[in-house]
Amino acid sequence: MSELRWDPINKEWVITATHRQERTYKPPKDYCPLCPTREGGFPTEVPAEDYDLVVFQNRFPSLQPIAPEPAVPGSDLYPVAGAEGICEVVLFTAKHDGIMSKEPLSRFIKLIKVWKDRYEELGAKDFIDYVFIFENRGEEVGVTLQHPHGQIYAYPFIPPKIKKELDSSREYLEETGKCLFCSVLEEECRDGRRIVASNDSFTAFVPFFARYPYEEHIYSNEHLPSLKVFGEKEIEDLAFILRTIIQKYDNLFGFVFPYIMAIHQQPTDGSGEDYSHFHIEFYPPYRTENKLKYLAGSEAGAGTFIVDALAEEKAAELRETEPVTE
Amino acid sequence: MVLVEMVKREIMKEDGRYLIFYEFKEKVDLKAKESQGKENNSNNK
Repeated sequence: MSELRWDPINKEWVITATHRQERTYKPPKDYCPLCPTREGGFPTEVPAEDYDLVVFQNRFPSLQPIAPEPAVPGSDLYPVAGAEGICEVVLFTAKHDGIMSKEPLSRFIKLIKVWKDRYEELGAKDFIDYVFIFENRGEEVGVTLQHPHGQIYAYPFIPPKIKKELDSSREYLEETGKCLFCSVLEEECRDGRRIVASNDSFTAFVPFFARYPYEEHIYSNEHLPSLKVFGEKEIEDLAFILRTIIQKYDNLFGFVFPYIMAIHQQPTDGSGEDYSHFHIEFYPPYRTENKLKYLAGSEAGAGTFIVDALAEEKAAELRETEPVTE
Repeated sequence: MVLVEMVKREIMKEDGRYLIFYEFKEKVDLKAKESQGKENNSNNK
């Protein structure tokens, strides 16, 4: 069962996807569904003995191109709709125990090219308004399959967190004539204390308003709305800074650092070219080497984050952490 | 600069889901490499 249920209080869709209860949960290494299908082994998702990068439709999708009928009828107050959309899985490498921070730059370049291709192909479909590329990394953020992979949700609407930031950016553009994200980046560069890394095309920083102690954002230096307009230079520079940030994370405490990585960019419904600004956001759950930050009363119940750290100090820690492997 | 040429190969699984193999050919852009060697290009602050 899968459907969209409208929440009239928060004015947002909620997706029900009861079949996802059946999804594969922390299988042993020999039964990883994301590994290549070995000779004589059990058939995995990938019918090949090896691969470079692979994308496939999620076996347990929250959204489907041909959505099933909603399980319940809607009403004026509670509209329901088919959960139409596409959910994909992106396999970063065939190596089950692969760690992206130890991969060469070329793997990151390849991954970004795959993301760009998926953004363009999925975004071109008339029932897709937003292509959301993300990675959940580590059991601490709910990962059930250890094999390095990310996901893509192609939504039939602009998701609420992204809509809110785009609404702010559109209003700011109307008031000032400037892109809000360009102004945030200018402010961060002018201050400088929260910058972690930068190159010709991108800047990584712990934002002034970080909600997690080690939260980082990577912004394009120029006003680039989406991956669609990236050339070879931007792809290579993004690959470099992405690898740098992940290497720094993994070296910070000496273990593979869990995080949620979210790519925010222009909706694919034709809106927002002037006020969408490509950026990546990382939300790591660790607040110290051995303590996790939980979303508790104020965060989950009231929507106000309380951060027991200074962004300026955390940025300095990350800046001083070497982006090296071995 | 390493240029990576992308080739897509799509198959359909038995249950109707698609799967796409992305394969890449790497090639070195010698012109860019030459000019890069002349510059002191620092990518990390």
